[in-house]
Amino acid sequence: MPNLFEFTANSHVTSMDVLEAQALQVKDNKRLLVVGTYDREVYCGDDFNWAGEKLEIFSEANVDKDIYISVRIDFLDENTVLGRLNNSDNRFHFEKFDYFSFNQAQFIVLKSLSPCNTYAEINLEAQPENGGANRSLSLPISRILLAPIHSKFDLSVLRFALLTGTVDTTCDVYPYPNNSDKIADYFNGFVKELVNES
Amino acid sequence: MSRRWIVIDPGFEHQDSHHMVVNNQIVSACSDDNVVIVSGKNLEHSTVDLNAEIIPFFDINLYPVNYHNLPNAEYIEIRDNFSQKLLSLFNLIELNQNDCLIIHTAFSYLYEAIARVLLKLNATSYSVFISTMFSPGRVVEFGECTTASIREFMRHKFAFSLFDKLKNEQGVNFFIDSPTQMYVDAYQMIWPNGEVRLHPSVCGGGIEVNKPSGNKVLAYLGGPKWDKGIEFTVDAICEIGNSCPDTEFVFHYNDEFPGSDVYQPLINKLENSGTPNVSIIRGNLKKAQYEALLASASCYLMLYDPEGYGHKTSGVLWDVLRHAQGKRVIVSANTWHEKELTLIGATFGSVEYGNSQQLATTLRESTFEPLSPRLYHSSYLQTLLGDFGEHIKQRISCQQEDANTNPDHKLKKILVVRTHYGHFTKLSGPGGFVEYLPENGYEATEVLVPLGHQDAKFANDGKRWEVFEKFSKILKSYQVNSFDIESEILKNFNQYDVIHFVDGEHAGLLVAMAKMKGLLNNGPKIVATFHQPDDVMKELVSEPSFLSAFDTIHLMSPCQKEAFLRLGVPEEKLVVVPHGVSAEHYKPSIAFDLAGPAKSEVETIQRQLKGKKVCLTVGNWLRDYDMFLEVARAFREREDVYFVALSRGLELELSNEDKNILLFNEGVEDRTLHWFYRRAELMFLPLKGGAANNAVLEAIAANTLIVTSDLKSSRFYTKNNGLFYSESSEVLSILSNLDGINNDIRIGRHRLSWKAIAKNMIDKLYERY
Repeated sequence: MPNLFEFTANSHVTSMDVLEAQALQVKDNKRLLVVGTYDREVYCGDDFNWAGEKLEIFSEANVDKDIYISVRIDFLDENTVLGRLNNSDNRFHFEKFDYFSFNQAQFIVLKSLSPCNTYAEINLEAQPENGGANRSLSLPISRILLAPIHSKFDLSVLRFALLTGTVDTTCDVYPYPNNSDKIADYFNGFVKELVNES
Repeated sequence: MSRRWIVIDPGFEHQDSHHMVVNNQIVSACSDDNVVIVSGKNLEHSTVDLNAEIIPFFDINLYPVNYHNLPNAEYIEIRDNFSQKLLSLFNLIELNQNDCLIIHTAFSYLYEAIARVLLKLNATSYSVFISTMFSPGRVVEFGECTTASIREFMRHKFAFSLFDKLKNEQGVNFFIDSPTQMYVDAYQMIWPNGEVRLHPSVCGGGIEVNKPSGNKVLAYLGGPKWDKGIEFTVDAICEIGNSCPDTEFVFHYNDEFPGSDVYQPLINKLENSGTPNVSIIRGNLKKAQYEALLASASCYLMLYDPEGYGHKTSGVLWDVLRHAQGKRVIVSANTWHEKELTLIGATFGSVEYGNSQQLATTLRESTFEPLSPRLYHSSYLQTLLGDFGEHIKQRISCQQEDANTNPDHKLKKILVVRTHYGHFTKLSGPGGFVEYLPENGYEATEVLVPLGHQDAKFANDGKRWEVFEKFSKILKSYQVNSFDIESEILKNFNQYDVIHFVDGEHAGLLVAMAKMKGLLNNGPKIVATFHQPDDVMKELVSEPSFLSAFDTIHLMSPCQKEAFLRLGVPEEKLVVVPHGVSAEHYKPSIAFDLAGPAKSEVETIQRQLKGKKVCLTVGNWLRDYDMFLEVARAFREREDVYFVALSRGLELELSNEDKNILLFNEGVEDRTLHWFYRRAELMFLPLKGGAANNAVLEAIAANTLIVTSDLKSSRFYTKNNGLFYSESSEVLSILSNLDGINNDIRIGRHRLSWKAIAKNMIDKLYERY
């Protein structure tokens, strides 16, 4: 089975940009590398990564983990998301776990039905991008969270983790945040509630 | 199980000596144990009345005249001879864990020999108490080092490095103490891995208070010696002539002292001088005579030569101190006597060595104050004039108790987040408790957050100001710089048992809100400390609901409670634990490495104070300097007291008539402030408000009486043990009786040390649920 070290040591990257992006992921997260997404982009006040036809997840933590994926559904409908993910080529199938929204952005949370360990390959149905870079696009992923199978999350904690990337050190997230902007957004929103601002 | 005390005392060869006094005190203190004294072979031990096993053993001269700086060959010879003797001694006496070796009145070659021999033995875990009665070639005065002999210093350093080896490899417990702070600090440099403490001076008695009638000056006491200023003293008395007709001069001339004949011409000169009322007492004084002579004097002269006595102790000063409460003392400048009296905060007269005219004027005018009873409440003087044997016994049993109360167990984890204030040092500020957490079972991680908003990491800088703007709507004083550590806490909180925000005014809001949002469920206990007084707190908190998210809110003073109750915090969450004070403030001098040198600053100020009493006012924030001026001006006619105001940048409008006011507003060294508390007769602290006050804490630690405005917080910190006033007439009445103020602070001073406060915090803040 492929592992993080072999992949980083032997894989053929297509460009220096990709190499740098992968290096940055490993530098920030240390234990997790996700391959198969495009650069982070912003829509309707929140950011996400388009995934292509295949997601590969390499983890250094040799424990069984559930995979949680939060996907934007404010500009791609829920059925399309599920259809692209739960296809016959995929070993991993996902169930609907939660929905939440933040400002204008809306999210569905999907949880894998079986755990992964150090490697997961997720095949996705994609469609070509109309115009622009003509990328092959499948899911607008907000966050991927790997959590040891016995982890118990309150929904508020899970949503906060998927929204901000802030989670306890037994878990891994992609993308891993290296600044506090999302946390600031979250708590600035809460302050508004506390002081009754609209 | 009783202990065996083994005193290695080759200098104990006759009864009438310092060694006899030392051994007497050890035997009395350790009467329930076995005491073995290994003495010089010449001791006629059948004549010695001590309840101890005495072994006359050493038959070599270990005390040559040039002991303080032996040439190398002599050093090696004497060291090796002593080593041989010690090896044969430890063939007779087998050391075990219950033994304590006591070594006193020793020099570098003796230390080295002892260390070398002990390293050859198989014994482990016994104790060694060393009284270092001589300078190790270097001394430290108010943080400033003076090296008299680098060779002697290095010899000591080497010998003590062998002690360190014994400590580390054979588990030997060392206790290294000295009889003067000048040596304590110097030996601390040589012995950095243990605490060097002050030990009693081994004078033969306790503090004696007597008020002799008349004016009797004890001009010279002890064996005649040039460097004890015998010639200067004689010249000075002759110089005085008829100018002090009411004064009687008593001169002790011990003509039985070896080599005393050489001083006979001086005695003849004294006898033939025109000065009336000169009495000369001859011979070796018996203990009772010696004591009676000291008791009979109203003034003491110690005009030693600074050349020989710049850094050398003298038993005469210690004996004088025992008797000198309420009496005057004059010493020659730049001697150890002057330095020691300065250190303890005494008022005294000082004259240039050899300047007879200056001495005559000083005696005649006596503008300096007698030694205040206040001095005798100081822990320094009480230790110095205490019992040597009891000191050793206590010192060694304390160590055992410490060892017994520190069993290995799993440490709890605490994260301490506090603001990094530039003006706080190890001696001040609210973080002093952290160093005591490990000994109380907590592994502490401390994060210092700089004051301000610029350091938090945001990709979009606008977020910083959004946070600032939003969070200020809840807590006006929130510092965005704490955002990063608080974000980190959201990831790592489960690693800790307790998270403590020491400056709740500036940090902790994000974590509190996270807890309100359910993000820290089943997490650690969250504690926040708030420092600001009632009215300020109400101003700072605009939306108080976050306060309830803290498990415990730590307040500095009960007077803060009201504001939090009104902000809706349940009373059971509010816990008052007082602010603490650094252990250094309890010590006679700040540790060498914790503050800059201040020798010349202290000496300059001491001269400026002219031997007068001091009413000290410290600080600026919430101080009432109008009251200070009103009171100080009411005391213009008093020539015995200065009102001292000490605060950097403080501006007071003083006139030429304000001669009794001294303003120090350019900042002084920490050491000087520390000394000022000891030099002051009292601290006069007129306040407009406050919760905790460092000046109050520091004054309590220094045992300085506090006269202050009647505030709840001051009463709380002093446990009502200050003198409180509500209006100026009351403070005038208090201070007009300066001599009669009862200045014994009757509270356990150490209850406010960070060590005690840390325990208190753990019990009440961290472990109370």
